[in-house]
Amino acid sequence: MNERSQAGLPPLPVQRPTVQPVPPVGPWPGGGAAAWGPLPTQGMPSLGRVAFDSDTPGVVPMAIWGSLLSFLTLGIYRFWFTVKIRRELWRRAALAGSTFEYTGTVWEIVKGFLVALVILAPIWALYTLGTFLLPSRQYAGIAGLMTFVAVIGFVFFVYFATYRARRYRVSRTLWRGVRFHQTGSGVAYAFMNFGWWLLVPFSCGVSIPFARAQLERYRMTNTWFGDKRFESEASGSAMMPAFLLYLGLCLGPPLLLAILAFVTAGGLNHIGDQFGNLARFFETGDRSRGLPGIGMAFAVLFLGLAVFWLVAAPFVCWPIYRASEWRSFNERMSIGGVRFRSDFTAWELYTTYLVFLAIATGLMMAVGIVSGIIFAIALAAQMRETSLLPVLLIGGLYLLVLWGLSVARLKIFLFDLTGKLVRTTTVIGLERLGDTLSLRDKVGALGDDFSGGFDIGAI
Amino acid sequence: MEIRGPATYYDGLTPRMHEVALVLGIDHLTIRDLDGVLVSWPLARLMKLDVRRSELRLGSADQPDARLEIRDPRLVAELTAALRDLPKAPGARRSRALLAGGLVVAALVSVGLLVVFGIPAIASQLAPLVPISWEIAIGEEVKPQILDILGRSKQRGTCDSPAGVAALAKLSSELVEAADPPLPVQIAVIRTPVPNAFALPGGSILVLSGLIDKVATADELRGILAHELGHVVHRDAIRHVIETAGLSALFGLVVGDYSGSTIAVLTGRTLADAGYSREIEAAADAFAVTVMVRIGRNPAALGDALDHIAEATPHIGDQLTWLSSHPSTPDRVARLKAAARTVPPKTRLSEAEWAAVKAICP
Repeated sequence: MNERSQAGLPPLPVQRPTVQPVPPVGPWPGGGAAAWGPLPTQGMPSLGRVAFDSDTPGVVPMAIWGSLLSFLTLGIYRFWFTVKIRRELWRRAALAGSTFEYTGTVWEIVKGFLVALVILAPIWALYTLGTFLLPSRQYAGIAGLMTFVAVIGFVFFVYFATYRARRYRVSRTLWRGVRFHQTGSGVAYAFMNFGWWLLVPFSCGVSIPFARAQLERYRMTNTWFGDKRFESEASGSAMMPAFLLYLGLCLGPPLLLAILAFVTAGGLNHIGDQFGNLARFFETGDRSRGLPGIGMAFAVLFLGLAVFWLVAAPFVCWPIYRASEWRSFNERMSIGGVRFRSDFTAWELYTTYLVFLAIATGLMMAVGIVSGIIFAIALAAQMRETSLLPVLLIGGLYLLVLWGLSVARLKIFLFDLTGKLVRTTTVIGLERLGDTLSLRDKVGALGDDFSGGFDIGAI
Repeated sequence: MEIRGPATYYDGLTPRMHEVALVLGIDHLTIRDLDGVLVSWPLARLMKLDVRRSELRLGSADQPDARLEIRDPRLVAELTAALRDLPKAPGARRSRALLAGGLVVAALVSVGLLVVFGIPAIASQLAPLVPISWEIAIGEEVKPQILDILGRSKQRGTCDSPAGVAALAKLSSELVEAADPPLPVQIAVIRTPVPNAFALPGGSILVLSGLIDKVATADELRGILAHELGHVVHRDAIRHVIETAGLSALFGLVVGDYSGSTIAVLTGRTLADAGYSREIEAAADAFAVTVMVRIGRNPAALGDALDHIAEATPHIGDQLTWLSSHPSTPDRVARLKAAARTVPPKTRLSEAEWAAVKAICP
C-alpha cells in the first residue's frame, strides 16, 4: 500500500530495479532477537540507540583548512566545504550499525545558489531603489512601500529557503540504500511562519509553543523514508507547562527584584523625599535633610539586576525550554510504527555553550595580551604614528581570532552538539521499516546556501 | 587473481540487509548469496562512498543507491589496495569538479570585470536619468546632517561676514554662469580648520575655512570652485550613491559574507571606491580647466592651490583632508599646470574684495 497515494500525492518514480530483488536474509548486527524477517514482525520490538562517532579525529583539521580556503576565495570555497562537512557529519552517524550517507554534490549547491540569486536580485533592487528614493518628499510614500515590500519579500524568501534547503538535505540522505525525502510547500511554510509571528504580539507570546509545534508537525508529516511517512503529534498544549516555566524564569526574578527594590528604598513617599533631598543637595549644597542612604543604593542595585535579567534571561533560559521541546517532539514522532525517544537535557546545551564561551574568551584574552605587547614594543621603538606595521599585525591577529572561532563553532556547535543529539536518541521497533520501498526526489538545492546550510545541529 | 570475502549488500530498493559474498575479478565485482549470483558490477562503473574509516562502502553507477558494505579488516585492506584508482564519490568525479572549478574562476573574473568596468559604466548611464528634483530632495536631507557633523564645536558654523559673502558671490557668479549647472548652486563657507571643499547632492558646495586660509590668490579659489562645480555638473554625488549600491550588492549578495572574508570584502570595496574617485576627480579637474579658460583665468591656479594644500598637510593625520579624498596630487598638479594659458579675464575682484573673502570667517 502506497502511503503517498493515500495522502493524495502523486507517486514519486520508484527506482527501476536492475536486478531481481531477493528475499531478505540476515539479522540486524547486534540486534539479537530482532530478526529482519518477513512481515508481520514476530516477537518484541527492538530498541536501538543511535550512534555518533566523535572519537575519530579529522574534524578540526578539516575545519581549519576549510575556513582558511573559504576566506582566501572570498567565500566561494564554501560550496566545497559544505559538502565536505556534510559527508563527515552523515557518515559519523549510525543507526543499528549502518552509517548514513550524504549524496549531495557541489554542483547542485552552486546551481541552487545561482537560482536563489535570480530570485533575490529583484528584491534587492527594490530595496535599494526604495531606500534611495526615501528622502525625496515627492516619492516618499511609494519609496516607503517599496522598501517595506522588499523587506517582507526577503523575510518570506528566508522562510521559503529554509524549508527548501531542508527538502534538499533530506532528499540527499541515504540509509541502507534507501533515501529520505520531503513533500509540502516552501511557500505554505513561509505563510505559516508569517501568520504565527503576527499572532505573537496579540497573544503576549503564548502562541509561541503552538506555533513551534504546528511547524514541527508540518515538517515531520511531510518527511518520508522511502514510501513511509513520518507522523508527528507535536503539541503546543503539551509544551505549555515548560513554556510557563520559561516565562516564569524570565519574568519572575525581575518582578521579585523590583518589589525588593521598592521595599529597601522605603516605600513610595520615602523615595519621593529622598529624590527631593538629592535635588536640593545638587542645587544648593544643603545636606541638612540627609542624602539617600544605603537602602537607596541597594534599591538601585536591585533594579539594575532586574533589568539585566530581563535582557539576558530570554537567551539564558531558552535551552531549558528547547531541550524539553526536543524530547516531547521526539516522543510524539513515529514512522510506520517505529517510535523515538530522546534523553537530551538542557545541561548538554549549556555545556556546549560554556565550552564555546571559554574558548572564545581564551582567544580574545590571548589576542588582547599579544596586541598589548605589540603596542608596547611599537612605543618603545618610537615608531611613527603613521607606521602601518602594528596595525597590520593587530589586523592579522583579528583574522586569527575569526579563524579560531569559526573552527570552534564547527567543532563544538555542529559536530559535538549533533553527537549529543544523536546519541541521546533511541529508536524503538526499527524492524518495522523492513517493508519500506525506495523513492527518489531529485529536487535541486534552491535555498540551501541562504539558510545557514549547517543548521542541522544548531537548535 | 581474485579477492573474495564476506560483505553486506543493500539493493537500493528496500532497507533489507543481505549477507553476501563478494568476488573481485578482472573486470567485474560479483555479489552472491547462498542461492547464487545477486548482481555483478563492472569495475569501470564502481565508486567508493563515504563511510567510517575502518570500513569500505561501494556502489555502482548502474544501480543507484545500491550499496555494498565491507567490514572485515583483511578484506577492507585488500580491496582498498586493489581499488586505489576508483573515484571516491559521485560528487568528486573529475568532470563535475572541473565544471565547478571553471565556474568559480568565471565568477571571480566576472566579479572583477563588474567592479572595474560594469559598475562605473552603469552608474554614469543611470546618474543623468535621475530627475533633478530627486537630487535636490536628497540634498535637502543630507545637508543638515553634514553641517551637523562639521559644526559640532561651538566655534564652528556657517561664515557670514556680509562683505565676504558679497565678494564670494561676485567671484563665484561668473564661474557658475560658465559652468551652466543643471540645478541652482549654493556656495557656503563652513568654519573648520581642515582644508577641504565638497559638492553635496542637490547643488550645495561647502568650502571649509581651512581651505580659504590656505589658498594664496583668488584664482586658486576659483580653480577649486570650478572643480567642485564639475562634480555638480557631472552629478557625481548621485553617481556615487549608485556605485555604492552596486558595490554593496556585488560584495554583499553575490560574494557572500563568510566569516573572515568580510575583511577581504571591505578591503575590496575600499580599493574599488578609491579607484572610482580617482577617475571622478580627474574628470572634475578637466571640467575645471575648461571653465577657467572660458572665464579667462589661468587653469594652473588649481594646481597651485593643490600645492599649497599639500604643503599645509605633510602627512595624513587623523582628520579628513583634501588629499585623502582627492588622490595622487603631484600627477594632478603636473597635468593642471600643463594646461596653463593666459587669457584676459572678464571681471576683476579688487584687493579689498579678495581680502573680504579671506576674512569671511571673522
